Amino acid sequence: MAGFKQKISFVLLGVVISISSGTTAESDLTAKVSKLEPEGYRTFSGFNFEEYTPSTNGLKKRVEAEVAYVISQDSTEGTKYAGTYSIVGHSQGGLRVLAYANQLKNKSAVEYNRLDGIITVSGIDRGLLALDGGFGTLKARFNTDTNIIWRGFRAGVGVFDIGSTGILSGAPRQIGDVSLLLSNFLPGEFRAYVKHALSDASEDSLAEIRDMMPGSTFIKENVANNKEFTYRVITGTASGWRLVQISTIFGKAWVPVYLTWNTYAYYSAYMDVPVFSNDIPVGYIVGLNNNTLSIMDPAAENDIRKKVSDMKDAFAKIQDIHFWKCVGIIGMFSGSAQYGYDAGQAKKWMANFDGELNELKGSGENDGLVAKESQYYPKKFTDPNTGEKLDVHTNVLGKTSEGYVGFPYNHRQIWEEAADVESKYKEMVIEARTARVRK
Amino acid sequence: MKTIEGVQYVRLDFDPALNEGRSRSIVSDNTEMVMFDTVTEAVEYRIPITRDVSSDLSFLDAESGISRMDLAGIRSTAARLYLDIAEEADNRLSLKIPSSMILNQSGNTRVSTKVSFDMSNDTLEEIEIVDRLEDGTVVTATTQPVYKDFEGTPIKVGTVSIIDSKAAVLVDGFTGDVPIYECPEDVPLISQETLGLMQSEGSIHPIDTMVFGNPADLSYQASIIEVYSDVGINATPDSLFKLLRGGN
Repeated sequence: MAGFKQKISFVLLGVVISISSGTTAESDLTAKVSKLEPEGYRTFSGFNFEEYTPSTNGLKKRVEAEVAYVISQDSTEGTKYAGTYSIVGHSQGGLRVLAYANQLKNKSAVEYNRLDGIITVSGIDRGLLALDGGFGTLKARFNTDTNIIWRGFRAGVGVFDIGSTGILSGAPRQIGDVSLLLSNFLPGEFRAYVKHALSDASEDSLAEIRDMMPGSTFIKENVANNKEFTYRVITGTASGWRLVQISTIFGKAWVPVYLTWNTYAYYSAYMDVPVFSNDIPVGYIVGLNNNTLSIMDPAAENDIRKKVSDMKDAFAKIQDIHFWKCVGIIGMFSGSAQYGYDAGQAKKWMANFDGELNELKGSGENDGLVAKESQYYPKKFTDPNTGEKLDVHTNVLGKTSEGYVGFPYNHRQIWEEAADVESKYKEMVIEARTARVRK
Repeated sequence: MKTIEGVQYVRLDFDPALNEGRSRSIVSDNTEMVMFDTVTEAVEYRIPITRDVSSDLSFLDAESGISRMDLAGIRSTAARLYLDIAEEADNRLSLKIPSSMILNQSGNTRVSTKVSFDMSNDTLEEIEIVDRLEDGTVVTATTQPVYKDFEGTPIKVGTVSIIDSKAAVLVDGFTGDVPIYECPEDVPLISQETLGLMQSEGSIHPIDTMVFGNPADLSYQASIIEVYSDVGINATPDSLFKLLRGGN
């Protein structure tokens, strides 16, 4: 019903569509979709979280407009072109080029036959994993991290000279004050995409971001349906102290006992059913530099790493002071057990800084912003329960057994700076011409 | 721990193996605390000891809780201060400390503080404190000292603390299809062989931090164990406290 209303308003306001928020303006199209390159491909650039104006217009309309724009360019005097071509998309552009193929197929068999192949570069092909489960996922992770740091600071009040050391200056004064984490530890590109999730706006009012969520209606209808599974694997055993309640001559008490237990590693698996068919070859170029701070200039990265290291040391001191306070009874009831724990958690957060950022991104393997598993669809899926091997999409460019071609670049470098990536997708453009199956 | 010329000194040496390799010690008397490198004795930090509780509670200050306590003295002083002290079942003596006697840390309000003593052994049994944070989260921290019997005398050899943090609200914005696992056993188990097969086809990816329970609920429970080894009471050389007392 919502789609029906949108359609009506589009028709009624057709006269002023170029300035309506209900359409994709030509200037936006030319900014995001390149002209046909001499090698026979067009590039589709990504989404700018920083400059995004909330809108109820989602990706379906944007891709429809991009399909119409390309067809129009190829039939216009001066840019007329009747040959075949490939499409190369970066970031959100990767998701859009996959949807482009589906929309083109539904629109015109002739036009679809002109499409040689699709290539995604650090594409959010399966959706932005950080938003898997909605804005709530990122919000919960972010609030957890913010609260860990806030509680660490709180533990320092009264036991550590915050003012004179400067190490803990700028401490948040209120729980849930996300500005500390946002402004002190994250590059602008990361801040920009986090801020929408934290804004309390509805998903539908941020429709392009909603459509980038894994499993969104847009992705299901235009790119691929998938089922996500979680599995565990036994990795070995571990030993350590655990609490056990026992009776002693001094009454019942929790006592630490040294125990051994199984350890597990956890995995996400995806069974994909692509909407794009096997007759269209797809190439995946995957960014693998997971250092989010490398997106910034090196001096800014060094500043943040120095701050993180100083804070780790400061929280370690605070933790030790609270342990000392717990020797006596007063420290125990003034809260030192809790404050020592809080300082320890903040120390651990700082020590595991890159891992914490990976957690916000949803995966340890990523290009600084986008999880690796978001960037490609595997060729096959083996059902762990039945052992059955299912073909997902086997017409893959790049000639690697993994089904993707990895490069050690971050999300920005891979598109803006990497000549070897450009060479690779140009190779794939040529490969696509023979890999394409035309009926 | 040692009493020298009527002053009680405490020294803690942290085990480097459990503290990221740091050699760190703390010595204190009633007025000052010094944090220093155990090996080089270079001072890292020196602060005067400030009280974060009312001076009316100094009658507990003297009782470190390291061994037996003067429960009769505690009982009579508490009564004189009109504190709520009462005998409970299982030989337990409980003392409720008014929140006005605890200095609030920024960002939280003390809801209650209850100290329990074991009357059969004259020892500290448990301390339970409840704080409410600005966002409504209620944190209950329960700490129990662990005693070991040294020739009939209980000596504190550590503490066990359980921190129960209950968030006031759930985080909004989750779609309904997020699976919730309460414990490892809820997650289906696959073999290493199947994992290898799925990794080779690229259909499976590691989860670095597995979240159990409802991800929208930021509540948690944590256990902290502090273990003291080589506890010495009035058995250590005075030189261990020289950073406070001076001399070599």
